[in-house]
Amino acid sequence: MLKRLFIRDVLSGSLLIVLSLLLWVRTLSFPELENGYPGPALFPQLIAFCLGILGAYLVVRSVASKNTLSPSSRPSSKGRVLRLFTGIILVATYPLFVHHIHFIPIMAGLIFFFGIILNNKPWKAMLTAVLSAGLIYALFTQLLGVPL
Amino acid sequence: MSLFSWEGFVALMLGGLYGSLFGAIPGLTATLAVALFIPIAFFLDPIIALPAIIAISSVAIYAGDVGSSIARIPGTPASAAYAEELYSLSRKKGPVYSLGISAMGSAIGGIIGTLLLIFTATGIAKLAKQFSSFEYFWIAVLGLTAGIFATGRAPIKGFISLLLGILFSTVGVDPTLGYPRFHFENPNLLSGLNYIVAMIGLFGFSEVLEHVYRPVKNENHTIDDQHPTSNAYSFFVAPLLLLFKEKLSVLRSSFLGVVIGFLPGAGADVGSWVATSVQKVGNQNQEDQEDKVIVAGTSSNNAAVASAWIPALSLGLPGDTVTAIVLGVFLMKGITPGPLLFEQSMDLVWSLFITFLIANLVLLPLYGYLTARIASQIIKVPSRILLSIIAGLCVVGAYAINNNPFDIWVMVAMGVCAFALRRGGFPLAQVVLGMVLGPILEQNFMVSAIKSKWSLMSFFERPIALVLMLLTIVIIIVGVRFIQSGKAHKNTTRTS
Repeated sequence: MLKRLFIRDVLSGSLLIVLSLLLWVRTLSFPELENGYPGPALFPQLIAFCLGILGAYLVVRSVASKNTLSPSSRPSSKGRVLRLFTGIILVATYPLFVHHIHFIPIMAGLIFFFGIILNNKPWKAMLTAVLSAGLIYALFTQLLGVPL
Repeated sequence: MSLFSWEGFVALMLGGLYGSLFGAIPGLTATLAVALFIPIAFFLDPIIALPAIIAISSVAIYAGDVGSSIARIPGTPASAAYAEELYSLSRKKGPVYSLGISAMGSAIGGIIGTLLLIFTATGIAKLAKQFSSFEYFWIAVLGLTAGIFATGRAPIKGFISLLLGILFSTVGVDPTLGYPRFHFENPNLLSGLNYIVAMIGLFGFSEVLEHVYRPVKNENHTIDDQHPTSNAYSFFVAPLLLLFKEKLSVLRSSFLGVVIGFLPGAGADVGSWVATSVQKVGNQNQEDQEDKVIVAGTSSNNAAVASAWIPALSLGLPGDTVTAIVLGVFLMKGITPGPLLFEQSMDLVWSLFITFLIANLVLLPLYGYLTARIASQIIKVPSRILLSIIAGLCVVGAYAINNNPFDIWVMVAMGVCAFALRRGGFPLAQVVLGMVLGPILEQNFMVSAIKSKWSLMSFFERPIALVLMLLTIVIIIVGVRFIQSGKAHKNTTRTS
């Protein structure tokens, strides 16, 4: 567990350092106030500085604890990662269709595919999808008058 | 429309039912329940919407214990503090008794918190009138500092989450100087990230992603056949006798809950953990202390639910994630929380106070008794079915707020970010705290600095500002000592 935490901390710390550098670079184009006083870049730069320092601390702390990757730190399986990306893409593509397809089929499709990637049986996923999409539609459009 | 209309009554009853179902389902939190309720609240009168939120959060915190009692699966982070004791007591004396202690403890803690809310919120609101940008800056610093140490023994990660939250809050036009930041030439980002959308992503969608990535292998929980029965004595009388016997513990835990709930960024979860820790430390030599630990935890967490509203109503600062969402509802409805709220919307304020009392006196015992059976049945519904529905609700919730498909992408981005943070062991509540307090911190710092022509000493010259700064220092000292004592205790345990 601790060793898995070590890998996570090194990765998190490294990502934070990269983020802080990107943030810093981005803020260089922000204007300063008159007389050289700090302007809108002040807070983002402070955040970037702190994130960089804390990221470095996480990396150093983990390396200093002299842990190494243990056999128990199993890498993520391809199936899991694939499911995860499918889930993200399903929702991320929803806005592309929202104005072209009626709410009920598109929402039912979304819930159905989520049901499938969550390991539900297809008929259960279908039943859940149709019922929930219908209920959500009725609740929002009929009861609350919110267009979907 | 008023709270005492039939619409108000229905909103309270349905809110309580909704909260009890959400709280009882493992993985679903009071915050998520409130976050998913927002699209509905948006179209309701605030006199109805806000009491419904109180009913949801008060009952959801209690209902988090149902899963703990039956299957050792806490429904909310607050109930995780004493889940082991609740489960053990349910096995020994039955879930009706253990849930009775939980419901009655929650009710009494909630009433104590509400009374303090009623008697102190107006005073704080009057005091708040004397606050200038300097004091608000220090309040934000105080809240953020408390938020860092509220993470327990991992303050560094709490601090990082907080910084990320503040970073998210800098997206859009700078409130002080009017300069657009991090909008990537996208006009949708100029007005900043809608934090209700962000919260649906942070709590709701990340939960779905977590289960997609790590599906539950065996959903046949070890559920005891002994379901809550209609034993009124076990549910009402025996727990009340115990609470009377343990009155000092109830008072101490409620007080702790109130104090911790009042601090911006802490809330019921932290209150519950602290109160149970204190109870356990004080009774280390006693055997069979499960009921006392449950009393401490439940009375503390519902007291914190009420007190978290004190800074939210009087200062416009969130005490926890639920009140952070509530502040969003206030702003959506064009109501500005703070001292003026007590002058301009007293009817709304009193409806909130009354709702707290109704929630604790009526809804908690009623739903505690009646919905224990329903909730225990819902726990049996496979979480993968529920989660697929939640995925749909997250999309609808994010879209319905502004009818803007772009918000769905924001929700997805926040969900992915929250998923990554969870995997790295970073707390999520601090991200929300950062998003809420970040603009207050920045705006008041910049205004104060420009006002004083960048004389930073002016931040330490006003008496209230100085008191707030000293309080911040006290929190840092206490927080550091708490961490050190934890490390020492860990080392002693290892040695022994």
